[in-house]
Amino acid sequence: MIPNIIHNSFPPALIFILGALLVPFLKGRAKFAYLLLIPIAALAAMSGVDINGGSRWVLPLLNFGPGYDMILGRIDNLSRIFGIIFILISFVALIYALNIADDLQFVAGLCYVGGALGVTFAGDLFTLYIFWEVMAIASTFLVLARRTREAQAAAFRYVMVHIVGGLSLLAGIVLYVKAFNTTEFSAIGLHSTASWFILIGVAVNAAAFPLHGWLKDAYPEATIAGAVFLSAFTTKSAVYVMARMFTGTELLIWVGAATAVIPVLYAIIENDIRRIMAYSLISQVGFMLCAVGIGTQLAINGAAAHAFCHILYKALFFMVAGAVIQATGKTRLSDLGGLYKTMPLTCLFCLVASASISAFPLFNGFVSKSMIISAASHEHLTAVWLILEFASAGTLVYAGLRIPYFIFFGEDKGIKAEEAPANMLIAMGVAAFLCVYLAVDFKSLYRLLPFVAGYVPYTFAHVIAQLQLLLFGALAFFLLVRYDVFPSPSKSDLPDTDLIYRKASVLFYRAADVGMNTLNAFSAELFIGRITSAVNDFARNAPAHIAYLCLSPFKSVLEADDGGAKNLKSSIYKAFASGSVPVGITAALSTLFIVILFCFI
Amino acid sequence: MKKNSGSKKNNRESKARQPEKNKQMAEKKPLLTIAKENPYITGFFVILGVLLILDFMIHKHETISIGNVPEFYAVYGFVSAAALVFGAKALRALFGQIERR
Repeated sequence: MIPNIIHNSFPPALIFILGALLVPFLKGRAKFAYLLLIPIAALAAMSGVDINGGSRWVLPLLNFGPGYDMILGRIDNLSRIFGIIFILISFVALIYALNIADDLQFVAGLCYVGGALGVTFAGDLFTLYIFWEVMAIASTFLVLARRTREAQAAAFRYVMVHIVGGLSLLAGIVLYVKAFNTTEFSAIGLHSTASWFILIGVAVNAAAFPLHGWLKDAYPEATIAGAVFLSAFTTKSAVYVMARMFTGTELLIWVGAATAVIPVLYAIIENDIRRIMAYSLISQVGFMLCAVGIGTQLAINGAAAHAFCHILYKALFFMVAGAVIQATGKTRLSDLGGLYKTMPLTCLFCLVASASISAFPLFNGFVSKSMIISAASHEHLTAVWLILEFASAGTLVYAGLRIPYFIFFGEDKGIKAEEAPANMLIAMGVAAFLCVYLAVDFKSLYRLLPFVAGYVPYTFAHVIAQLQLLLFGALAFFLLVRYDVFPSPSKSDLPDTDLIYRKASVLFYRAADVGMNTLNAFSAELFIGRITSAVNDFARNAPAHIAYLCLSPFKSVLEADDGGAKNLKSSIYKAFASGSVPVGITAALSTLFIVILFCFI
Repeated sequence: MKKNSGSKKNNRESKARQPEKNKQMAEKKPLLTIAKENPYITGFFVILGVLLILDFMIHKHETISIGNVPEFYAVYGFVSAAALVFGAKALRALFGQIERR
């Protein structure tokens, strides 16, 4: 088995996870080279697989039969595009993180990427679950590595939510395997209790409304590089699993539409840069979930293409935010402004990310988001189409205009800042280049899609329609800012669905505190105060009690013997207390004991 | 007591500032004047105008019929952006503010 793995080279997931173990032993340039070699090796291992050649890295570990093999390498048209973008963005994120002197982040980041690749290339549900949990645990350390009190609390909440999601997935898998006698990871639809459990578990990771609260809670508290890693993998690997298992599930259309719109409202008034980006991330994942729900070939192509493009511009956004936070020490929009003078390149990259997420023609969001909206249109889903266009206009407002305006333009706060370090600029430059390149040479992206894509994004009518939608949205933004109608950034945190479990956990703690402590006090009183003393009292006079119990049937006879002058009970207790037990009692008890033995044994 | 007098003072100051703010608002130049002075804004308005004109030259064949209404995307983009901003304001008013830090 092991030689077989070596013969076929290592699965990409294990290259990352095992590769992470060596990181703490390396230093300086050797470490830089090693870190960048890991994604290259993984890409080489992946590209060596023929996508029509069936599954690779099959481990018959469970030994239950052919339906129960662990498959680490199911590389087909759907998993390939997710695998490529995961490896590509890990390369960019590692360049961005190179100047960080914290091995914890590198190890956690690499294991996290390994987990995401493991999920993507899993061919069975057990392998999926194992890497799912690897991803949850590794990503928690990217939040913890910030080493602040807030980050610690956020990481705790993050891991708790993911444990709940993971358990739901596990419960679903167990029920599914029990019902269908297979661990095959394929389309299951929403037809059984098992599939509902699986759907909920995956929806937690996808940050689908209303299960999205954890994302905006944890990502802004992560480290600067950690947030770049986090932005790419958890939600998009969940979108992949949704596309694999729940294609065409109507519920996802509406969940996706809600997920696309509702976070936009928060993003418009939120103050923390990375929290705005977190809301933006959730909203964009909503588009993908909606596409999975629509389920046509165009829609699934759209979901995969949008995941690819979204990972690039969202990572670019988080890299820009990280560069700004590192340069200024400020995380809030209201504290920033006028940075285009001191950070011109970062400003340029931010504008590219803004144009991409807003889906301006010649930026990658345009060639991917359009597919999803067109898929809704082709299926005559008028309400969904209107909602998605509505969310697109909103995306322009908060991400396309508000973020660059408040950070780099707007009121100059005279902040002293230096341009980001070279490695960060290179990473941002690569991501920005790809955002533009994939919009121009969109066919190279479409060639990677799960189905043959005949979609043409650049028609005259479509470009004009998109420009109208965006530029008139921009007009509304400028008018609202000019007439002071646009809301200033909120000074406080707005309640979201995470408040439910945050409050519920406090209530649970209090309920547990009161309930358990009351039970404890009651038990102490009952068992220690009462029962123990009662048993103690009984045990102290146990022989007398037993003797009296045994002789009580003969009470009338024994008391009559003495003419009723003596009381049997008091005489027995006195006799035991003084150690002068009459021989008759001992003899009577012995006789009784023999009778009992005789009768029952 | 001191606190009260302080808040009264602040009130007086804010009342004094109010007319200033109104004055600033009143001083804001009309959009057309700004457009004439700033070439970028002029360009922006020109592009908007061109887009509105081009819309009539396109032979639309949207699957969803509302997309074929003239200037639909321009109106929908403007209304959506404005609606979301007002929606966000309403959301904040609804929830109130909970101090976080």
